[in-house]
This record gives sequence, structure tokens and C-alpha cells, in this order.
Amino acid sequence: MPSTPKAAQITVDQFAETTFAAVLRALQTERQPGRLPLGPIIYGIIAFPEAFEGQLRGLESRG
Amino acid sequence: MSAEPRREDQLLCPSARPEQDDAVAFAVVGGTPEEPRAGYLEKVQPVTPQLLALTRPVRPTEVLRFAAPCARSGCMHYDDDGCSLGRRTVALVAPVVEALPPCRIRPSCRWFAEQGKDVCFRCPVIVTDNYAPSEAVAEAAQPPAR
Repeated sequence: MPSTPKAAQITVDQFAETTFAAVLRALQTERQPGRLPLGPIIYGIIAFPEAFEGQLRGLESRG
Repeated sequence: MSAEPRREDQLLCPSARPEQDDAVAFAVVGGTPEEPRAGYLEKVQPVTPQLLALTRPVRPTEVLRFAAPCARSGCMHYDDDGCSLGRRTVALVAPVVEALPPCRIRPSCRWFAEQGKDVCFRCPVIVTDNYAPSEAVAEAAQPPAR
């Protein structure tokens, strides 16, 4: 994973535009139907299952 | 949000969910699907219906990073040594920036409190709900067996 000198800072004025671009980035991310995202999503599974209403079934197939 | 360092029991999780009490948005995840990169808000934003609506049709946690008081033993990543996720992130994920991100929650961040700046150099790659994590991020996210 390439390293860049520094992370961006986002001003209040840039927030909406940056968020819109981030939504486009998220929409471009490949998703497999019925599969929960991997990675730090699993934070929420134990402590805050209500965040995944109707979607917890997929976890049963995870090792 | 105060810039004063917090007590251990007041530390914030930097990959929290907006449903948590006192959650704030502190970063926006830009970059590309293959290389997501958080940009850090000059001013943290309270979680409101209007804020969450900005991310439709995707989940807020695919686009924004939220901080909220650490759930401690309520979270599967918390153990006797603190946050195992922050620990694994430093151990397994390569740095993606060479300077400390301009992060407003750092004085209160559990990851920073426990791992120091090493975790900050990796923080921009974290997406709370990540459909396409790198192998390293996915491995870091796996909680220890209980």
C-alpha cells in the first residue's frame, strides 16, 4: 500500500462536496449480494447488532 | 470537544458507529475503492439526521469515520490490554502517511493513547464498514478468539 506524505484536512466548506465524492467512492466498491463487509465492521456485531438490522444472517456462514 | 487529554475511561473509539451515544463524525473516507483514505475534518460534526442523510444510498460508516466513547468490555476487541484492534492495526497494516493526520480527536483517541503515533500513520486506511478491505486490514479486524 503506497504511502503519501500526509492526510488531507477537510474544512467545513469542503465537507458536503468531499462527502459526496466519498459516497461515489463507496458506490464503486464491489459488493457481493448477501455478504457483509469484512474488516472493522465486526466492531458492531457484538456491541451494536441493531446497526445491521436484517443482515446478521450472513455471519453464521463466516468461520 | 476538549483538546485536553482524557482519562482512560473517557477515551474515544476512532471507528465507532453513529448510533452510539455522543458520536461525532471526524473524518471522511475518500480515495479509491482499492485505496481508501480518510481526510480529517477541521471541525468534528455532531451526528444528526441531516448528516447521516448526506451519505445515502450507502451506510454512513462506509463514508464517514465516527468517534464515540469506547464501549470497553462491550466490544469484542477490548481486552485486558485495551483495544486489540488498534494493536493489530499497528502490527499488521503498513503506514499510509508519513505525517500525523490533522485529527481533532487525537487527544481523546484510545488508539493514540495506547499505540501512539504509529497507529495514526495507518488510521487513514480504516473504513468502519469496508466491503473491499486489503488482506492486512481484514486480518487486523479479526478479533482474538475468546
